[in-house]
Amino acid sequence: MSATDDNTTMSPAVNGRATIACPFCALACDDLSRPVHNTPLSTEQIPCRRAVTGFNTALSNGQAHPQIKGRDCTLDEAVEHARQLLQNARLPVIHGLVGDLQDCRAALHLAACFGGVVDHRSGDTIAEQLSVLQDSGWQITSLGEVRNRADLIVIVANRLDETHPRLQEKLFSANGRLHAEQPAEVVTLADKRVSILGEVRALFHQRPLPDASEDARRLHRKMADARYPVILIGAVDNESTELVLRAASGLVRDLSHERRAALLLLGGDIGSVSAQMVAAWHNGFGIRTAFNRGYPQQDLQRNAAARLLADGEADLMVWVGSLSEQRPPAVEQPTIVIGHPAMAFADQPPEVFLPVSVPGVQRAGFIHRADGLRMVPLTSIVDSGLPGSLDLCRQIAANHFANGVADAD
Amino acid sequence: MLTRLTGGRVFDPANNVNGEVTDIWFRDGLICEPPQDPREADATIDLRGKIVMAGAIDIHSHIAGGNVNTARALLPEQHLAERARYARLPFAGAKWSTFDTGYRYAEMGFTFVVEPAVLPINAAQAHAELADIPIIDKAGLAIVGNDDFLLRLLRDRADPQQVTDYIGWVIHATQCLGVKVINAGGATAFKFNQRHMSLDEEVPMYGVSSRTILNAVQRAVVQLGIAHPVHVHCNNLGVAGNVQTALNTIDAADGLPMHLAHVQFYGYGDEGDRGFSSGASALADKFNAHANITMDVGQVLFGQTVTISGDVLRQFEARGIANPNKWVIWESEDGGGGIVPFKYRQRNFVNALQWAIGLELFLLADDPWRLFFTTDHPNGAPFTAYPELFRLLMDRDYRNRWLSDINAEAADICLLRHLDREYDLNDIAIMTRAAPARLLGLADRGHLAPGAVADIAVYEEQDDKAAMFARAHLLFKDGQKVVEHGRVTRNCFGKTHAVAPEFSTDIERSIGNYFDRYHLVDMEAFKLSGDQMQETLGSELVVH
Ligand code: SF4
Repeated sequence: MSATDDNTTMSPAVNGRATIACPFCALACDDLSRPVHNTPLSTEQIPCRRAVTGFNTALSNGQAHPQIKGRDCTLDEAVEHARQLLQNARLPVIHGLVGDLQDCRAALHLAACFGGVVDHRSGDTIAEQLSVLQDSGWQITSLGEVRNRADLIVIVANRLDETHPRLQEKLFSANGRLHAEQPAEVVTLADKRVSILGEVRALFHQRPLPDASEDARRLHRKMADARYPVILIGAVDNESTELVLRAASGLVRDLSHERRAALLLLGGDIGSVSAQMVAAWHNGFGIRTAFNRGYPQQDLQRNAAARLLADGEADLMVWVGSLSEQRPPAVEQPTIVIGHPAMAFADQPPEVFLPVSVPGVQRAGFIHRADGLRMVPLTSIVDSGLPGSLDLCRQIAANHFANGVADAD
Repeated sequence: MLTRLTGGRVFDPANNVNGEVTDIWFRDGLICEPPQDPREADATIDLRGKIVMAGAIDIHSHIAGGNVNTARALLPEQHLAERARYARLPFAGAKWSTFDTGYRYAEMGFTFVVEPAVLPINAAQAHAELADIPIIDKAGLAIVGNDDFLLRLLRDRADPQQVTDYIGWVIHATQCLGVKVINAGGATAFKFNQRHMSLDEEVPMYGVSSRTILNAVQRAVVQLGIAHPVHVHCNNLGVAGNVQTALNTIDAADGLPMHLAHVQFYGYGDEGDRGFSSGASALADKFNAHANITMDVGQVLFGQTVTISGDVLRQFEARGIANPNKWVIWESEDGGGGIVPFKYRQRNFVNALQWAIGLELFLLADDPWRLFFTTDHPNGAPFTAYPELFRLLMDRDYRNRWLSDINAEAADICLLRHLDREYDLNDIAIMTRAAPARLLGLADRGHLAPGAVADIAVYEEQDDKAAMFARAHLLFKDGQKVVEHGRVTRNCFGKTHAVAPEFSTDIERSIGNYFDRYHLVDMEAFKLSGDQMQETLGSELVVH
């Protein structure tokens, strides 16, 4: 098959942008058909339940009012109140980051301006990955590479259908692959994954291992035969992400002396890849970096948002979550929510609620694909009239750096 | 607002001004003719005892994109902040952040920097990072040459017009200023377990050599009328004896324009007891004889740094010498790369010779209009080490003091001890201002004639050239004063520059089919628009 072959199926894209992207999981599929204004979507239209829910929730909640302590107020009042809280805070924690590029930029600016710390809702998983990266590095590959060339995929993940609903379709059922006739063989490791990976590694080193499990022996044989084995790591239940990653990473390193091998890190929660990536280029390190001394300091344990809040080190929580209507965790500290307009707080309203537009539905944006290689553009489908998080946070921090411009000394 | 800079010695080689004391006038963001009556000036700045040049331009510095960002996360220990800086600027003290990058370049009088390795699939992130670099203007070069689509066209002996249209499309889709080829075909060969790629070796399954790929891209760039010649990272980077590769690549250019990046890393002979020697004179001779070739040096300076590159073959081979011992190797659609920390030590024979070879190339190359000043940041050294390099080039005694401090064997065999040339301020102005603007096709900068953008750097004249160039006395960006006494005093955001060569969009039919078949990306979503650049990535786009 050649790129220049005359093919009967013409790309629909040739006549202009026909599809939109979905921000509701880390796959960031960009092949969805554009929903018609305000009519509910169905899974026939969009082949993913999670996407349908995400789009419908955002499409039907285009409006929400800023609130102070549960009472509607003007945007100016809410912004002013948020500014007061941030100015008076000793150590604000900017948490959640369930959002896209703009949300991350917004959160990071607040942290830099007001001397705070940023963390993602699933910061524990990101931190475990980072600690492996910072100790030893790794050898990784991308979604497209695995789709096109891997011949063995070892899955180390739970709930993949839930966390990345269309992974099967995207990665394993591809018909056109590069230089490969067969689809990749897929092996799922269900449990005892750290020890199995360790045993396989020992078998490759030809260490005597009389009591290696049958699972390990089978996997060893398969990996020994594979041209391009890839270990896919997603959310792991019942085992430590860090240990799984260390074991898998060591195995890949050993294999790569002789053949091609790699890890595919799938990211986790919505926005987690963007949170780490965007934070890294803003503050040099990434999440869990504190700005309260005027310069950035990363500490993956100490600066965990949940810990800072539970121990009372932080005295204010700002929750940024434009892509999920899930409420922030209940904490003792006063809370500012910069969030999805469909958020409901039952009888525990935050100190300030600032509803913002949902990226990919109510405003344009960009979000990282799971492998971090690509930022996928998000389209605005309807206009909600709600502010975007970045503009809003700039307004809150206006006296500090007006529009990103510092007042000269 | 009409501003007059008066009394400074001006170095503006594009306009044949060589140290004369003359006034520079600018109105708002542009340099202008002096008015009939000098009293019309709204502001007059007395620059007696100062040196005035256009803002400096760096054509090759890795300041954004996936590789750079991963390096940040991999090496937190390398950029710990020692002290708070710039309390009133965003992200004060965040060393090696995008913000710090902009502040530091500005402090040294730079106003334009090119990120030379934008992997097309990663272009949105690269541009988002560039957008978050304050003060300076920036641009990217799009990586081609390991892209399966291009390799297929070449394998199938497609009409060269298709290659041209495809390259035009890539530039358009990635909003870049030109194209870069990194070890042509090497990242693809790596996918077939090949761990070596030479100029005439063939990429498995495609049956095309690096030479074929280079020639095809080179022709396409010429045909598209892009000012910046194809920006080439050759095969065999860092390998003893590789000067031959560089010489062969110059021959392969066949008289057409070609830019060779970080040539210090290809200046290696394999003579002597250790099988490692300087190839600088052979390379410089060849360069001097080939007016179609431009090069930047990629100078090594001693100390801790990190090597980051899209040359996955090279980085994979180098992983064993990582210091500290950790590294990242990655592969992806149409490319790959690696991040390997490294410490250049002056007492180490090879490192000392690398240092000398870079300087030899600077001093042996005749034409400063074709030779560019880089450290291949951060590969040879961080860009913050530039002032040290200026001093090495401008001060022979200082160089010689260093020679007695480096590995003695390297000092003995290198040519450097015999080279007396010293760069003067005019040479520096050519190499860092006039020539890069010309090479990149930026007619409105790199010089100080009316009509040029008012990007102006002012330095305090000093004997210690490192001190002089470390801190600009003043820097004007688009006519706004942004640095005073070596400190950033005002934050602003520069623009992103790109070219938009014409090509036939018929090629999109094949590209679209290809994407549908093999990519996880929709072709239309792959293309970055000017609106996206402005509204969602956050950078004003200037199309040349
Ligand atoms: S798999 Fe994820 S990104 Fe793709 S459509 Fe479903 S929720 Fe959206």
